[in-house]
Amino acid sequence: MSEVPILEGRWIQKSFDRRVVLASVDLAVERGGLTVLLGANGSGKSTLIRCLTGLERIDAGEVRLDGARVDRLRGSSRRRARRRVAVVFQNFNLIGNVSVFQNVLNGAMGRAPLGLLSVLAPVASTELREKAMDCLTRVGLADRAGHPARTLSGGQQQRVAIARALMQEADVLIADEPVASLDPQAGRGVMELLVAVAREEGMTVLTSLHQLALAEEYADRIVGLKAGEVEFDTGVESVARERMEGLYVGDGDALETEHAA
Amino acid sequence: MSETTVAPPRWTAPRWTAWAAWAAFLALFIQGVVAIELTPERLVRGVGNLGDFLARAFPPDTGGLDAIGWAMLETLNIAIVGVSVGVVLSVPFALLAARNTSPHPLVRSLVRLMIATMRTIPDLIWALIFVVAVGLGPLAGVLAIVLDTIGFAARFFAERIEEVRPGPSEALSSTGAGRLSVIGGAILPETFASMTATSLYSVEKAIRSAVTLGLVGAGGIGVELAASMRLFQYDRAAMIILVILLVVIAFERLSASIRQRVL
Repeated sequence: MSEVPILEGRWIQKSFDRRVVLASVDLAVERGGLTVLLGANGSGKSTLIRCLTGLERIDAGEVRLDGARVDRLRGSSRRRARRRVAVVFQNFNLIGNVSVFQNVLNGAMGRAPLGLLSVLAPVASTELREKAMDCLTRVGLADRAGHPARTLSGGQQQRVAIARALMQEADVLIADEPVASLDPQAGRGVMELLVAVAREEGMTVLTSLHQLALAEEYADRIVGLKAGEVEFDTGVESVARERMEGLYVGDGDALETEHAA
Repeated sequence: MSETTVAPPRWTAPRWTAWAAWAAFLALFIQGVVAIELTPERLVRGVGNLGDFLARAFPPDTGGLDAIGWAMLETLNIAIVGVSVGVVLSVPFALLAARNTSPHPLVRSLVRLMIATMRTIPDLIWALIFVVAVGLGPLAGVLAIVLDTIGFAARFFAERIEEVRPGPSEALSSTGAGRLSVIGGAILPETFASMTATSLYSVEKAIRSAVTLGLVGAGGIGVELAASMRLFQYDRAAMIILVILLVVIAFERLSASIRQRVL
């Protein structure tokens, strides 16, 4: 634990129109493993994820990547920091009318010298093209490389999004509700892939989930979020199941655990 | 309780502004009817003249068909060159004018103003201005079409860009990509289909306006048509109108089938 955490949020505060979404969140993620940010809808987990990935500016506090503050960066130093954090979204955010292969190549946009011009499929280097195929093979979709992304099923699109994240060669992969739009079976496939990415590629994975069962099955560590504050953290204490279920008590999402199991 | 059960009144008096607007409209309408001197005799005489024109226009004169063909080709040239340049220029104009891609609100207002100006001034007036600037001939027509196309296409491109879902752009900027890479990698592909449809419509529009631009000397078949009308060669004019009709319909068909394939 003496090592510097790869990703760290300190006293993060965020409000939208005076509505406090994150009261003051402290979260440190060590290198490797899969950490799940668990919470009911409206607990603030998506906002926390967006703050950690730099998609939202925080009102107060700090975000640190490998010990260095990244939340106040601008311009090219901000882009350099973002390159080290790959993001996977709930609704995949692929470019629908572009090929799966190009979507994966896009992952290298930040690290390639000429940005888009270095990663366009017809002109990309052989090295990048081969790497993109490796990433697609890794997620089991090499045979779909030439198809337009929108023709794939939701589960497949999320796998392509993970391949794009692998293409980025980031240190950390942050996923925002990666299985919320998928049916249970496809959701499991995606979770297993994320676990494999953490185990085999040595990436640090942080993902938000609202389903307790999935978190228990796949997580190395679960951080419970409720009303914009960390409620428990299995990384520092052992937590009884009743306490985890307590995340869903007090608002309308109490049935989420049933639904997931 | 009884108050809430009363139905709304049958008739509420319009505000005085509505009265004023109606009064102004009626005044303009009546004054207009008087000013154009619409009389039964004139209408009857008009029908007679029209019959005379038609009698002299048929059968259309097929004699000068090669000259008409060349003039039509020039019209198509004006339209194609003008619309191509216009559509290509519309993309940067739209990116500067759209809220989510513009570098600065000031740039945005300025570019929107430019686009609005290009759109508000009719193509015929642009043609008149460019005839003065670069002389009679097709170049003036091309320039007029370029501006007319930007005024139209850049506006629709910008509206489409503003509607684009933010997710794919967020995904690409999360890789550390720069602004231009995100625009080229996410926003342009996402808006491609709609921009193609707008561009095809611009071609149709440009062909129609390229025909009329000749009337003010900006090249193309309109020059031939104006000359034939002035020389009372109505049979030749009829032939020209027939050729225009065929070409415009053919292009509308073509663009409709391309649109179907793209969308």
